[in-house]
Amino acid sequence: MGELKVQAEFESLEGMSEACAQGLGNLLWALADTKLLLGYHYGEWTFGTPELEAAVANCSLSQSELGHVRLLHAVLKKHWGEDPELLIERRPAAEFANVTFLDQPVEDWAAYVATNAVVDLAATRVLHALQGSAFKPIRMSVDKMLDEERHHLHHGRGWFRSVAARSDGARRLADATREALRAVAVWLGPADDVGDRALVAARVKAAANADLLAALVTDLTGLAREVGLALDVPGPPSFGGWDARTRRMDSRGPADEIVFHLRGSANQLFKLS
Amino acid sequence: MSPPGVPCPFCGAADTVKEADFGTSLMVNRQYCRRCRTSFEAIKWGAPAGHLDLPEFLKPNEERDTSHG
Repeated sequence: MGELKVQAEFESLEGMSEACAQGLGNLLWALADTKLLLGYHYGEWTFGTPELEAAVANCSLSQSELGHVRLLHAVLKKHWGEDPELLIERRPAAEFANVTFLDQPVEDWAAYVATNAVVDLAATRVLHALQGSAFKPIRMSVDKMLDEERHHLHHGRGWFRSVAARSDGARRLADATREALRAVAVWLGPADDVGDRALVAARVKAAANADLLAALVTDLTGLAREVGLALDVPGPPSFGGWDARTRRMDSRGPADEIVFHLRGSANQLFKLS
Repeated sequence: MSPPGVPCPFCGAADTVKEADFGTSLMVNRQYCRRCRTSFEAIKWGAPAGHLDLPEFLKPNEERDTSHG
């Protein structure tokens, strides 16, 4: 591969190196999939919350995540030729590139809080690194998404503080946070990922994923310290078998029941197209 | 705590408190006026982000602790 051509701004993929174009497509795909699953789980938690206000909040959180999916899918369609219908309706679960913490039902409120405060934070860290991106088509959507994500993280951090303060909730929250962190580290990927390096070199992305992970850990350990929660940060993943497209180390995807429900497959007969 | 100065649309008083971060739609939060004792919804986009509990990187520039990256 020759030296990367760095230009001020990309209106499209034209002029972008192959590694950069592929790395960006993979990243946006992974962001969209993570937001799709976040939207699903927030939606699932519109009932069963400890407070009614959290149920109302989850309606909004789900709504905005699914809106972000539509924004990202529009960019993927225009510049990578991806079919949004296929991305949701007909893709094998093993091709989903979401954070694996979202692969299974979110079993309790501590796991919900880790979803909101850790997984949503990871996606937002990536979005933030795309603010001011040299790839203009995504830059135009990022500010809007970040505006909404501020309220998501405000919500997640509020519940993180609340659950951490409970003697019966703190341990479970620490465990769920650790598992979410482990999954997020895999999703962000190895430091030597060619696509990620190309994105940073071309100023499409402001920071490497390894730096985003370090910053995210700083965010969370700072919050945990404030609330007196002992947080055991997992060591770096092995990245054995890591796939740049699915951002996974295995070929599993979200649970069948989740994909089935997400697609509305039980109501296939009534689909509009 | 409520962001200061969200005026009540019914009586105009600024003596209002935020009751909830989310209302009946994505873009609003729920407020309560202590003068006329009415609940109302306020559009949150464009409101100062300073009242939100945020990690450092999402805080407004003027509130960031610049001693850390």
